[in-house]
Amino acid sequence: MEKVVSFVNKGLKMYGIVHIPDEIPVSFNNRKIGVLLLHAGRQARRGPHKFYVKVARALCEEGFYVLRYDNRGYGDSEGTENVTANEWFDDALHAIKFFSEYQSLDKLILWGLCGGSVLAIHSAANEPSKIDSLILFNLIYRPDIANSKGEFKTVYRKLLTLGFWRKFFSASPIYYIKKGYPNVKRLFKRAFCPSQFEINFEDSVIRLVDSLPNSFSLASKPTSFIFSTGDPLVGNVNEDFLGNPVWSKHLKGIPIDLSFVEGADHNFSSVEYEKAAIDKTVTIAVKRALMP
Amino acid sequence: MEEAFFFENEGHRIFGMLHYPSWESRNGSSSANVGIVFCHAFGDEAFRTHREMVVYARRLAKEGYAVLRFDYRGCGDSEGNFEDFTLKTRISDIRRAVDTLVEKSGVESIGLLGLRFGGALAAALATRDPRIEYLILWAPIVNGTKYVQFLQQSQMAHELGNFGKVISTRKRITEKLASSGTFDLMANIISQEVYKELLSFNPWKTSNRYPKHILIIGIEGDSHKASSLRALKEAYPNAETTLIKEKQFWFDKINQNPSNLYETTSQWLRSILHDFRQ
Repeated sequence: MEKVVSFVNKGLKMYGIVHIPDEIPVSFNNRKIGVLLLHAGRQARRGPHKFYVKVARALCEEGFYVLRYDNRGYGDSEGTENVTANEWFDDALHAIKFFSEYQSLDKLILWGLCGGSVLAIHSAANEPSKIDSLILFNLIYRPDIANSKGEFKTVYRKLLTLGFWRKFFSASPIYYIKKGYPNVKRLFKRAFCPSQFEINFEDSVIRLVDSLPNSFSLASKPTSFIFSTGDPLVGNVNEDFLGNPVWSKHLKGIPIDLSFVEGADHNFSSVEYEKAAIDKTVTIAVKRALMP
Repeated sequence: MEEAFFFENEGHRIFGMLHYPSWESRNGSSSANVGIVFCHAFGDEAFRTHREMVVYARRLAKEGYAVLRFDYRGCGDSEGNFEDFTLKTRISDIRRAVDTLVEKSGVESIGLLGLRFGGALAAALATRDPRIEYLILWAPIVNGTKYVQFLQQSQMAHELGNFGKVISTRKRITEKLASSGTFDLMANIISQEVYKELLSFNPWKTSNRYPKHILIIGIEGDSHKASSLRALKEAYPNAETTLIKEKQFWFDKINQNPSNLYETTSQWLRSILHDFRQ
């Protein structure tokens, strides 16, 4: 069953949907196990191609309670888009409290995509007793790409390659220019002539990403990292993430596993990639649920 | 005040959000008895434009209107998978949303506001349902065949940008539809039935019945705007058509609300209020 829920944070009403399973599997030992979905920044609880709805329904089929909600200023929730990532972090903490109490959960797993994964790590560090484990898709782990300048350089680096232009002219160039140009222009503007709101927002994101390794070791929770190999924002995971001295120091001693969705983009926007991401989510969550 | 809830249509649960008119605006306002159902866009255009619809619904509620937003079956938070429902079921959902708005808010004058393909769906119901007294179309899709081409081009651009190669050429889509009966539009599965419906969809043909008040807003820079507006003007001679400068917010997320679009619509609504039951 799916139920509309809301909770209030700092006077703002946050909307969400709770997915309640028909029955709890015997293998869960009568425990109510919840998964809180933390959406990527500037998205909302449905997600592109209903990605979060599909993830939630697949988990619920397996016996999990799931909450997906809209951060302030997005989706149906109240507030303006003039927010900082710290406020979203605060919303995540409220969602954890609300969901744990509302369903009287015995165990809670945090699931995140992109910025949602960043919020998941900080939330687990802040509320370690309430969180069992983390499932993190396409975590933004490098502060240097956590802002528009970094995104611009990373994403549009491909414009300098011959291969890109060869493919470009063999496809639908006029349409691509038409659709792509406003995006490039907008990202360029955000990167090089940002508004005060953008400056504040990106500063808050960079601060959260910068302090991620520290929060990760503070939380010290079993974590599954899943990365899309076709996502330019992911970068070279072996070198930049596992091989990074700061990260490797903080990852030490914490049970982690790492897997990839080959060829997938940031949001898993094809049936094949989406299915791979959902299958991985369900497999990992069930494995965590079976643990004592 | 707002109320989020599920209502039913043909045995399926539909997510809806009702924005009640604010008390301040109800006092002595002529808009107090007027309701609007929002008809969202198709596929991921609905995802990208969700917030713009929320913000305008809240503004209209402050201006005294009762607004119902909802997700068609298979879309958003509503029950079912995208591929299991058709354009016919979407029109049926709009009709049920109108019933729900009347039941819950008690308004007597009802209009529809449709964005992009939601505009085409709203127009399809408005020609059949005598309860619809006014119709507002934001950058409506006029030609189903051209829209299918646009969706295919979007898919190709998406594949090129994200995967570095084009997988879904027109030929491959046709082959895929013939072999499996579906094709993948950015992880929204388009069924053969919806594909065929889209190709032949034409709610604009001359009808004996259309609402008395119609506002059609085209957006400058939208490639089909001029011919679309001409075609719509022929179909609806009484319609007020206008072309405004605004961001094409269904293309990509913008951190700025389409205030020209909001303002033009609210002004027009105020101008027709005298015609509604008080």
